[in-house]
Formats: sequence, C-alpha cells, structure tokens
Amino acid sequence: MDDKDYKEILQFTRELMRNRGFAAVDERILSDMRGSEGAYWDLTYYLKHLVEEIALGSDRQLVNVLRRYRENVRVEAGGPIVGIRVEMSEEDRKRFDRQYFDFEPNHELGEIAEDLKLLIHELHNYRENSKGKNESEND
Amino acid sequence: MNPKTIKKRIETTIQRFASATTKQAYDLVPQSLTSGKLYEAHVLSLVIEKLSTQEGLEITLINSNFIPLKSAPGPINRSYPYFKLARRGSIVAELWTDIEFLSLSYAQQNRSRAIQKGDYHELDLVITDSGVSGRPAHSQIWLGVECKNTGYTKGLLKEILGIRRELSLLQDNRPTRFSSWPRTSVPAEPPSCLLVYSSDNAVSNYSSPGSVFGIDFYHEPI
Repeated sequence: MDDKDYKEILQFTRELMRNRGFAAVDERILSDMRGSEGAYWDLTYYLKHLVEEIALGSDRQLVNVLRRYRENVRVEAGGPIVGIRVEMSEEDRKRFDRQYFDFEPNHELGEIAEDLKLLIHELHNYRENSKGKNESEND
Repeated sequence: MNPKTIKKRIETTIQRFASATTKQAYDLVPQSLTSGKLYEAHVLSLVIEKLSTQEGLEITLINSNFIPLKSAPGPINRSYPYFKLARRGSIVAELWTDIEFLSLSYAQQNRSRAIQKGDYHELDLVITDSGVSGRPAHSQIWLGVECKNTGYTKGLLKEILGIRRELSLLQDNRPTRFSSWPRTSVPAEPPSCLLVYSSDNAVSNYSSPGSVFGIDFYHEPI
C-alpha cells in the first residue's frame, strides 16, 4: 500500500463517520490534528483518536472512574455510588424530553475499541515489514 | 493486507460503534455533550482522588448516590447533589459541578445594580466556602477547574485568562486554602487555584502565561 491508499482509507473512514452521525467526533479528531508526517501518519492518528472516543463510554473507562469515586467518596445516605448522572437544564429538558441521563458502562464499546487497536497494530506491522522488504530489495 | 480489507474492517467497526451508542439510554443526546460530560466525570474523579489522597480531605456525596453533573451551568441550588469536604471531621468547603460565579468586576461595582450576563462566568468544577447559595462570589472560591475534551486553541487560553482575571488580581504569592494539592501558594488575591485539564497534548504549548497568573495546565488523555 502507498500514500494514495492510506489517504483514500482515511477519506473513506471520515465519510462513514459523518454518514453514521459522528460528524462531531470527526470534527473533534480533525481539529486536534496538527501538522502531518504523511498519509500513513494522518490515518493512524485518526484511528488512534477514534479508539479513545469509542473507549470513553466503555466498561474499562467508566469502571476506572467509578472505582476512583468509590475509593475516595462516602455517600451520606449510605450505600455505594451507583453511577454518573447528568441533570438536564430547563432548555435541554424540553429539547430532549428527559430530566437526566445516566452513564453506564458499555461492554461492547470496550470490545470495539480493542478491535480497532488491533487493526492499528496490524497496519503498523505491515508498514514496518514493507519498509524492511524495500530496504533489502534496494541492497 | 490491502485497502479493501482494511476499509471493510473499519466499516464494521463504525457500524458496531453506531449500534452500541444507539442502544445507550442517552442516544438522542448529542455526542458532543455526552463526550464532554464523560471527560468532566473523568477529571472530577482525578480531582477527588487528589483531594483525598494528597490533601487529606474527607469527601462525602450529599443528596444522591449518583455523581452529579449538569448539562448547562447555573447557580448553586442546595437541593442538588454536591460534595462536602471535611478536614479532621470539620466541614471546610464544598465541591460543586457546573457552577456560575459572580465576577471580581461585579464585586468592584459595589453590586448596586441588577446582575447582567457579563457579571458571571462558569466553571466546570468549583470548590467554595461551605453553605453558599446562588452564584458564589469570586472571593468564596477556593478552586476552579475547566475540563476541555477538544483541541486546545488560543481561544481557550484567552478564555481561561479571562476567568483568572475575574477571579483574582495579580499579586505576590499568597497562601491558598490548601496544604498540599493543588498548590500551597498562588500569585493572586483572593488566592484561588485555577486548573485546566485538556485531552489535547497541545495544551502544553499554551501553558506559559499560567506560571505568571497562577493557572495550572494538565494534559490528561482519556
């Protein structure tokens, strides 16, 4: 694969993200991207940040956060801290027709993030092997 | 490995991501709001851990079994959940989330007129004197924290410099209300601490004014 392929894969990924309702995530990742070391770097940068976005609501992430709360906070009413609740403002209550929403660990998000990490790892190995082949051919 | 197989795997991943988030109870809430709040919850857990383990505060969650966040900032409402902070059994302060505080400039005008939108500003996490209702005065704030799960830009630096200006005047170092974390002294009067947590490592490129004005910048990835 060459730069043209990596560029095309990134383009494809971004289009999919936007079409699937993740335009805000796509914009956030792009706005974080500064400079570039080429098409391969751009693609892996994007995918690594996508892993972080996916993992944010995952089991592992939320469990770590809840563990920190449970270790350091006592609940006046007794019992453990059960979750994280976002109370809606008056305007948001009308807009989304709900008083609040709760964050609950999502096991599936953790698995998806791990699968994407594996793809990045394979891309890295592929590129390193390709480099090695090219160098030995040039020798 | 070829472009076609990679695209297929990415397509499957994004489909699964879409499906997993649709199953969540808050799927109709914009992702920009949920990811911002998740980051805030993450930072709050770190701040609480530091207050407990390094500062030695005893922390109690009041009015709820859920960690409280809000979709939009507002004044302190004492019927809402918050955290009591105690030292050796005595309550010393409170930690609130998504709070508007009354600015130093408003205080300088003798508070003789009605409050306008420019007279208050928001902070994601705030430690105040205990027992405060409504918008706390700048002088009642011990610590303010801003959480930014986005690319860190010059605009955000200007925003936090504005917050610092409306919290305190630049002075020689003064002791803070903390014995260890986040700081024992700050070049500000009133001596409030101000922290910025950002998921973007570029935040370090903007941190130098903080050493003059007493703002601590942390790169905290998700």
